[in-house]
Amino acid sequence: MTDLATTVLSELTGSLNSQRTITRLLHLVTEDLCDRALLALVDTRRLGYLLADSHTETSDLTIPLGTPATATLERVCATGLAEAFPVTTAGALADVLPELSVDADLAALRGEALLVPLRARGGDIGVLVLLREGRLFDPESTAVARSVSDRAAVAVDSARLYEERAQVASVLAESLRPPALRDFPHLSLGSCFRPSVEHLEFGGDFYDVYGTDEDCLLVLGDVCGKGVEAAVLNGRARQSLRTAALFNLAPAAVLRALNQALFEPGSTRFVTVAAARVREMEGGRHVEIAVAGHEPPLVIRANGSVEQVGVSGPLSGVFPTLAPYDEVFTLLAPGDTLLLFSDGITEAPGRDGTRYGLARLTEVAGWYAGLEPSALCQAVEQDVVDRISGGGHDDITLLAVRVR
Amino acid sequence: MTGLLEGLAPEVARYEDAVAVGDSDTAASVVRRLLAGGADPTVVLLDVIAAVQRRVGERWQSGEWSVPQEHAATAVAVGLADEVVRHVRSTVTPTRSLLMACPEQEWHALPALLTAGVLASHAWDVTVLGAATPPGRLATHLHDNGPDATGVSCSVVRSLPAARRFIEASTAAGVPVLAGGPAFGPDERRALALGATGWAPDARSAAAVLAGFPTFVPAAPALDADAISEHAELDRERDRLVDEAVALSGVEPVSTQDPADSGLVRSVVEQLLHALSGALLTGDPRPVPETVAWASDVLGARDYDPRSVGALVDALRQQVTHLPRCAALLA
Repeated sequence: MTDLATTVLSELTGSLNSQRTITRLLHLVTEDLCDRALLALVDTRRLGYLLADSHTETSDLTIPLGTPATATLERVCATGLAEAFPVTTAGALADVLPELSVDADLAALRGEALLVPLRARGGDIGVLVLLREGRLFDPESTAVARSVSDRAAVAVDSARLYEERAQVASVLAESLRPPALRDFPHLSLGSCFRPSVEHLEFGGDFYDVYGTDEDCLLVLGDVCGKGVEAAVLNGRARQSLRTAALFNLAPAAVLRALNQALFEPGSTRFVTVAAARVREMEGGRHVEIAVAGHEPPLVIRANGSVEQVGVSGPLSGVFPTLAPYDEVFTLLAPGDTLLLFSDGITEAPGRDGTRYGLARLTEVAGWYAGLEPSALCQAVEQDVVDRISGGGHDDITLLAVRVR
Repeated sequence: MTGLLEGLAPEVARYEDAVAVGDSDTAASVVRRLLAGGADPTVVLLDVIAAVQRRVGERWQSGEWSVPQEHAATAVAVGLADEVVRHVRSTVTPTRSLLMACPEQEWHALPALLTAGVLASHAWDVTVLGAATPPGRLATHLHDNGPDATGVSCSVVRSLPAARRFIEASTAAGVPVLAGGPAFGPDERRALALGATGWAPDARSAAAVLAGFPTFVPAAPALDADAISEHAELDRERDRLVDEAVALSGVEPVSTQDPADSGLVRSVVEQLLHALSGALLTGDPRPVPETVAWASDVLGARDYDPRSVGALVDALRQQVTHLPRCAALLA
């Protein structure tokens, strides 16, 4: 049984999921050390204890502060000393646990309760309530209970800290994640996003689509830097573009507004953006394109020929005032696709030391000219990722629109 | 339901014809009609969508279809499978959760989606991470969501090393892992060798295997050190091994109509290397002869000399004489 502490350490530290870590701890101690176990976890937000029980699935029962039960728990936490209670009557456990949590089995239990504090990193994590039926906790078991709780405390605390951070990250990620795209009646859309930091769901690249089937604006941008810092600037850029697009869908106007919104004296941060407006007009879909320091998009014709739009423009966020951005025009017929991409694609490092390159992108785009945009993006993504060497890559981002 | 089963064959034919000409609207209407008519979603997923998709793969292998055609058909199948899964989710209340993913180098996402749909019918809440999922992304999901089990889907042998990393990530967090897909072979041998908790031969049996899973599992034991080091060398030297084997074999590329098929000879040697790695890590030699047979089919269908595969294997064997296990596998 002295191995239990080691087992607890090795089996609990692998998971950062709070719920599963607690459940596993309770499973482990009820195998040899005791017959039933509960964990009263300190809940700093609601000023009470969350209760988890080895015999029930759920662990969302709360013991509020100020009840007789919490007096015992608080004392154990404060002293850091384990306490043993004989359980000789039906009401004995009421001094430790609130009535609600004492089910029929618990009420019938006669034996001993051992309360062991969990402390980690200078904080009180909670109290482990171990129950033995028909026998008492001898000194050796009590010592084992203490070493188990010392090790468990660190694992439970780590999981809890992770959970708190993950919740914050998740809320923020919601707005930073690339949007889900919905097709228009005459235009189908496709995209691909593979962030450079693989466990985040966002990065420095972004894309958005504004407007309607008759008149819409596609943007794809890249913020300097990587990871979380880049993602925050990405959020600001998206917000500025969205606001500008409310007033005017013309790419040159939107890029101008973005530059004014982003420019800060003394800042070295910048954004590159490609913007394309697709409008229903006589003769087909009329496309106007402008770029701010970004590679212009590819036009993929239904017959498989591919060409890059010829246009350039200054980076966004670097200069306070700018001459108007150049716009170029092209026409899309049914079956034609416009493909916007970030340099995470063209700069992707290959296994032989070369970059993926515009030439390869152009070739592959031509092969898949007949595919719907989502399938095209996936096929390109697969080709790029298959060629990447083990090291990292910049965010890989694609946005495609095809005329039905 | 009998009336529906009788009506299934013509519907499958209609679906297949639509997929063959890239008519996604007609394919979608077949699926929606079947669901609206009360067809079992598992039947729609496995006996319509998956069955036709198998024939799509056969058409590429036989040279009848180009790579882009295969991609287009797959995209249609994935979109429709997704629709069926959403339909199931809206009708069944889940009691347990599963995280399903395809490891790096695995771009066949459809099998994972099909299994997810079948499991959803058995009250599993399945989250499907897409094709070629990085292990960091899987680990984050495991910690954030604490699923009851993980599912790993591998269609190609080249993704087995990455599947092992998934199994390590999942079992280290105590979460049991179900392995499935053609790359794991016809029995549980490879899956268990890589540390999976269980193996399912197909989507229909996945639910039963999962039902027998424990709540927590210990971390998967380490693989054989020699196997790992030979695999690591194959991985590190892959480009050089391919270049030299192709040059040594004397096999010349045959010109092809499908530009996406260029580099087929190199691709065959790469697949042999992946098969070697798979055999090393799982201790199961079968991937090697299976890959040789596949290569014969693929090259044979494209007018290559029938001795080409043998020449490539011989050339590769000469490159790995210093790696005893690899040499033995190629003997």
